[in-house]
Amino acid sequence: MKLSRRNALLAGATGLAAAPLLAASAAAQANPARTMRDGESAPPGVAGRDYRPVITPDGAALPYRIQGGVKIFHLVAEEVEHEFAPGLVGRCWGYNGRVHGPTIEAVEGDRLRIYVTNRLPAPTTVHWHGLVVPSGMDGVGGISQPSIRPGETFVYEWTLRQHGTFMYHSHHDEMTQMALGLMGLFIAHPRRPQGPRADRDYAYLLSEWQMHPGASRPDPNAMEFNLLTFNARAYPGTSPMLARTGERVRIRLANLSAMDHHPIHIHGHVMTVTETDGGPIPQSARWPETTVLVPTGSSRTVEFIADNPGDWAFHCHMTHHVMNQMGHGIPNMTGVNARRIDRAVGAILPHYMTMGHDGMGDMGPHVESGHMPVPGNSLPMVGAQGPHGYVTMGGMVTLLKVRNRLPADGSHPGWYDDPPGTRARIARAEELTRDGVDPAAPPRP
Amino acid sequence: MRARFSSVLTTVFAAALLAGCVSVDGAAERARVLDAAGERSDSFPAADAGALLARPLSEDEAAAVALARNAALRAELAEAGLARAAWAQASLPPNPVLEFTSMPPSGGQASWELEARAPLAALLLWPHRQALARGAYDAAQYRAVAAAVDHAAAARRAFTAAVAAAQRAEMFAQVEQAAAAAVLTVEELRAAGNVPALDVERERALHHRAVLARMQADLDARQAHIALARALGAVEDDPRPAASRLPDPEMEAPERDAFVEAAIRASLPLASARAEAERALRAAGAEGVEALLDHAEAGAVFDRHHGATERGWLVEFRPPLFDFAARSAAARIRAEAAADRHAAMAAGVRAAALSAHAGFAAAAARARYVRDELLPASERLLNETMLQYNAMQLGVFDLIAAFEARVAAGTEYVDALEAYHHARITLMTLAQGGTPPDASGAGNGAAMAARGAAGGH
Ligand SMILES: [Cu+2]
Repeated sequence: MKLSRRNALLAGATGLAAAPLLAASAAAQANPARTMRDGESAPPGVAGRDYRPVITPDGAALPYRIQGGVKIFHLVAEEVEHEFAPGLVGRCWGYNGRVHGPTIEAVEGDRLRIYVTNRLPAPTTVHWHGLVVPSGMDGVGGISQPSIRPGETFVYEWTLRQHGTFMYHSHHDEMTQMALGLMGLFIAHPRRPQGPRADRDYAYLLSEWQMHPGASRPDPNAMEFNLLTFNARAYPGTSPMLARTGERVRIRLANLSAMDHHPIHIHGHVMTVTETDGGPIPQSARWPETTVLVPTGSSRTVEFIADNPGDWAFHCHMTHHVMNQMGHGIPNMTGVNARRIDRAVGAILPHYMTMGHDGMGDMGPHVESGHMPVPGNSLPMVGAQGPHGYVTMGGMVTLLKVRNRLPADGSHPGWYDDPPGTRARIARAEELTRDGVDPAAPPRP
Repeated sequence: MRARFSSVLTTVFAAALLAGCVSVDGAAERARVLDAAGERSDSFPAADAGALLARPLSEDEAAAVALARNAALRAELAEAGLARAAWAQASLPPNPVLEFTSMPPSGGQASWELEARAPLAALLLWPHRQALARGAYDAAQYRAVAAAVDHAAAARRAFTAAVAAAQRAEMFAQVEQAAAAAVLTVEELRAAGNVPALDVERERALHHRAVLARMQADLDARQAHIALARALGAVEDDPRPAASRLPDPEMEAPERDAFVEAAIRASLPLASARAEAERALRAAGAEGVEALLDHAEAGAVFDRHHGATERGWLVEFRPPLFDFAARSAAARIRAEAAADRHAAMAAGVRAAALSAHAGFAAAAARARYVRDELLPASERLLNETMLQYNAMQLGVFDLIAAFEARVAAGTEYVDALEAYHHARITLMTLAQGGTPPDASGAGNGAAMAARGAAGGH
């Protein structure tokens, strides 16, 4: 069975590996991420006709050309200056001038030929994560191929026999190269889409970094991470997702973080998990969620109807993943008598100010206003100014903006204007009296 | 005969009058020595040391007060006065010996005898002995001037040490204050329930050590102050250095070879040794005559007997039949030893000058390095620590540690500056002819010269 499936995968090969075509219909069922029959071939999929391209917020799609019925892509691995958010730039490794690399989009049944040029100072490879490829195309340095040395260009070629949300990343010196950003999204659209079509199809690659405040290169040796990103951007550097009321929204979440899984939480909506990187989940097995856990090395696709207008946070629920460049291993100052400490330490260090005694909520505004100088090229604890005050989150956070109408030019609408009576406010005295609420009452057991 | 006797007396008194030109006055001698020292070192005794002591002092003023007030220096300068007295004495003709003998009257007539004798050696060797005494005086004066120059230098060193010690005490107080701030902070953390008792004890232990270090620094500062007062001949609380900080290392090192030659030319201990050597050589040259005439005396005898007066001549002579050779040999040996001491002193002064030059150049380079590199680096370190603290990457204790590191760099600068100023004073003192600081190779200049003097006549 296994053998026949392998042969089936090779069936479309024309350039690198031709193999006898075997009829093995059972193999088609072995991989649920297939809508084509064994041996079936199709012309290269074209956007608009065969698929609606995904939106990679703050990212880009990798362009391709078609040559002799084969889709040709070219990835160039190189050092890239990358902005994680305004005020924080890192010297990273990426592809084609981007971090992460551009999103590769293809259609099930496409014959793919992907050139990889190495302009890094170190050898590298590209592994097609989650994709079923011939063993020699798997891109694992030392196992499937020799690593691509600096200056060399390798070619990978196979026929795409599945659909779903996948990734590509370096599989040589993984710790270093992935920590520096060598990864990207690989979206395989089904040849025969099933179920309702998504009106908006967003794709995210989740990753994590250690950027020492004041440094300008991610630290690949770190096992603790202080910068958590959606598509290599940290809030407030993430662009929001947009949806018109009633639209079906699909969000693809792929995780290539070094050490962490991310429970991604949506506000104001209930999502259905429709796919993993193993393929679509049968209708009967799908489950509703407001938080979807995306393990590292996996992808999860969720869908929902944007039926609740507003500005909705969409973020990892690990609280340390929604804090930019927080330091650890410092004394817990919560609840201390800051005035006494300020006096004692201020006597030797006039600029000293006790911090953290009432939490970290004020830190971001302090830093952003510039009156508390921090190392250059850093965003410690920085969030963003919101319509009702400071947003104390950073990192793996973005917004879903649902509106009845959106600007025609695709630009972002402003902040949501809540209809009267639909925003939390200070309680009025008569309300407290009416409802028997006494804020000064001693706490009851 | 009478006429000849009178002419002898006339000559003697005339010579005595001439010799009277060598005056002996302790105060004047001291002034002469201090003037000579002042011309070399630019440090003159303060006219009103009391007024200077009443206000904050500069290093120069400290040297001036020390020259004016110090009893130990006066005692040393007295040696020059004594040598001058010896010279004055040697300039006078030898005292005659008068011997008068009265005998029982016989025949109703008084009977007596008068002998007037003069030591022959003293008379004949009068110019020679005068020259020897002059040589001893010269040597003593060189030593005295050296003592004054050294004394001014010692006051400058004490001044520098006192300022440095006070600065260090101030810095240790800052470290103690920082440690106290850390204790207060950790106690507040403990009160808020945020840290275990272990953290509190750790900071307290650091604080205790800081207190002990500060106590020692306070004591050091007090001792240095007492030493300064002693060098200035002042009561303990009087001298107050005007500057609370040692001046920056401004002086450039002189050209080495020129400096070494100048130090040798200026060296007072070397000049003293030279005078001693010349004196010993002169003494050895005359030793033969000295031996022959040592106890020779000549004179006149007046005898009154039975109303008649008689005159006669008298000569006494003790020939050095047995010890002539030994005495001559001893004098030659003394002359050779003095010459050797002079040669050793010359080598010692050269070595000391080279060493002082190298020491100064190194001390200046170190002080400038600390000032230009370490201090700004520790300042930047503190600033960057503050930025990382603001970014909440580091805690308050890291901040305090960076502050303490900056204070430590400051202490290092004080140490380096103190070493620089000591090296500068050593360099200046040698250029002024003062005693080399470590004369162990050549022998302590003054002490050596004094030994040489004691070995002579
Ligand atoms: Cu997370």
